[in-house]
Amino acid sequence: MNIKKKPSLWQELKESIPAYLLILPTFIILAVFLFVPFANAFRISLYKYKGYGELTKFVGLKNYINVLQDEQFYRAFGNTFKLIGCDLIFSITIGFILAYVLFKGIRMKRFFNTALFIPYLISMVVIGCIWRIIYDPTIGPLNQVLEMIGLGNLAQPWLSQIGTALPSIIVTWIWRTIPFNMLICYANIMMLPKDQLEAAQMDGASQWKRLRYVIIPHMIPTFVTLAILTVTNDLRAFDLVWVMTQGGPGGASDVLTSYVYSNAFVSQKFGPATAASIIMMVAMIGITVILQIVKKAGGKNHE
Amino acid sequence: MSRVKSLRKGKRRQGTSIVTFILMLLVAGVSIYPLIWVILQSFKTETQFLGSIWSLPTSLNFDNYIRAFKEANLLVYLKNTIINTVATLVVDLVLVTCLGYAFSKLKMKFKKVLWYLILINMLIPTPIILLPMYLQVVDLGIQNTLAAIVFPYYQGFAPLGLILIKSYMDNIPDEIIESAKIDGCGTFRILISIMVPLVKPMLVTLAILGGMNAWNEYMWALVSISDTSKYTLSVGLAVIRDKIATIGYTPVFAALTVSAMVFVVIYLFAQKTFVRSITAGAVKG
Repeated sequence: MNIKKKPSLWQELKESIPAYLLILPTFIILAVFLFVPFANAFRISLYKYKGYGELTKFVGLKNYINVLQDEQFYRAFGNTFKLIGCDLIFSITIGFILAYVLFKGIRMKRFFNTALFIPYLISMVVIGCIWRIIYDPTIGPLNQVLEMIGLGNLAQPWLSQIGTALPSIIVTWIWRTIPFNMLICYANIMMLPKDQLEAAQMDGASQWKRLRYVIIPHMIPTFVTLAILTVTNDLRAFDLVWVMTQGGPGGASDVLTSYVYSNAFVSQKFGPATAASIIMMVAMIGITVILQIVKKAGGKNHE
Repeated sequence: MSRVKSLRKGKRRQGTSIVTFILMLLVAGVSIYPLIWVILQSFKTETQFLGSIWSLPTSLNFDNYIRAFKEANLLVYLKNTIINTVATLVVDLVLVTCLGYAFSKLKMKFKKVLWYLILINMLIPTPIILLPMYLQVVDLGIQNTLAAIVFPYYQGFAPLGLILIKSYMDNIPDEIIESAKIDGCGTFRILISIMVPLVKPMLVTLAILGGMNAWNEYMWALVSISDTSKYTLSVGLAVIRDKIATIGYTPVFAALTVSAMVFVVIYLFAQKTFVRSITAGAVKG
């Protein structure tokens, strides 16, 4: 930082003491609750371990091989990506459309602002409980509505069928994530320079053209940010899945985290579960790095 | 300026047709109806509910709430969640402010390395350290204590909190600190009596983000708390839900209403602050 004279390391350390004192508590907490557990995770993944006692049964990479040969792991992986894909396509698009309508102005705007945002204020666990009742085959509102409008033959036990469990969860998930995407899109549309929009208006650009050539290009960096947030968020999806189906029926709606959780805390297979979560982390870091590169490239195009 | 304004005002509603308006009403309905439906059911008796799920409650009766609080332990879960959240917030705000000040305004050798050591947490998915962290907590003998909740929550919150408060402090001119130094203030005096008042708006933002995290957290609470008297709302709700057979549906609706309304009410009272906080929180991408 200082280019004048290079002070000795000792002196620099001495001058840093106040700063070190301030960050010390955080580093103690991180050491105990993050760094040590993180190192242990790698160790546990090489052992056969039931969650108590000493680590004695060293099995090498067997846990990793087991996980990589487990069909359920790939199923959970696939399900996680289905969730991410649907969320990226529907949640961000719908969120943007809603934000655009609010931006253009609408009667009762305050009402819409609040009403559309409410799902985000309710925790995933509460939402899971509510939607489990909504999907309930006997007292659930969904099937009753279907019967009322003459589509009674579509009524079904949504969460306890292999084919419908995951899609039902994804619908609920999107319902919950739209408000966040809407809010961020809205905040960013509002930052659009007014003169740009007005210039386009003066030039007689149609509404569609203004959207296509002024608003959407302005929003691209926002979309990239939202995509990154969506991916990192959805990779951690656990609450909703666990509350609604626990990954069932028969693992049909398992996502990565519920797969790890049930392996560890239901089946007591800590070794393979940890191995699976390490594989998951590698995948996550890979995806994050790719997304950051995409973001940088995207950002440059729009400078 | 005023001409532009009036021009815009005249054209403001040009684009929203009645079709858009009706569509928006439909979307808003899908968005809030589930919650409204749950609230309505919470005031009905069990027989009314089983009779028709669409009927409106005939009176404002709070029996279900009383039953939820007493028979379904809702009061205990609520109390635990409040304690956990408040304690987490104290730790979050105090330690993150210290971090922000150190990283933004103080000389620190190896600053970069230390910075990344805190931020690396964002790349580590919770499930991967879930089991080792659980074993660690058991080893330390702090299972079911406040410490086993508060510190892991802080650990998860620190990276985002640090990024936000550091960039906020970066905008505070160094001259303010320099002149305080000349007046004879020490590093820690400056932190407490000059920096903290200046970063208050950011502390509110951090409190909302950290508060929502702590209040809603599920996975770690589910794994680490084995004592049912220490259950949080998130974990307890699943227990309450499984009691439907014995206590009926309607008390469950009451419990869900209480849990859902907490942040809805806070939002209705502090909409602007809330929106600002969540928007700020999105920078972490």
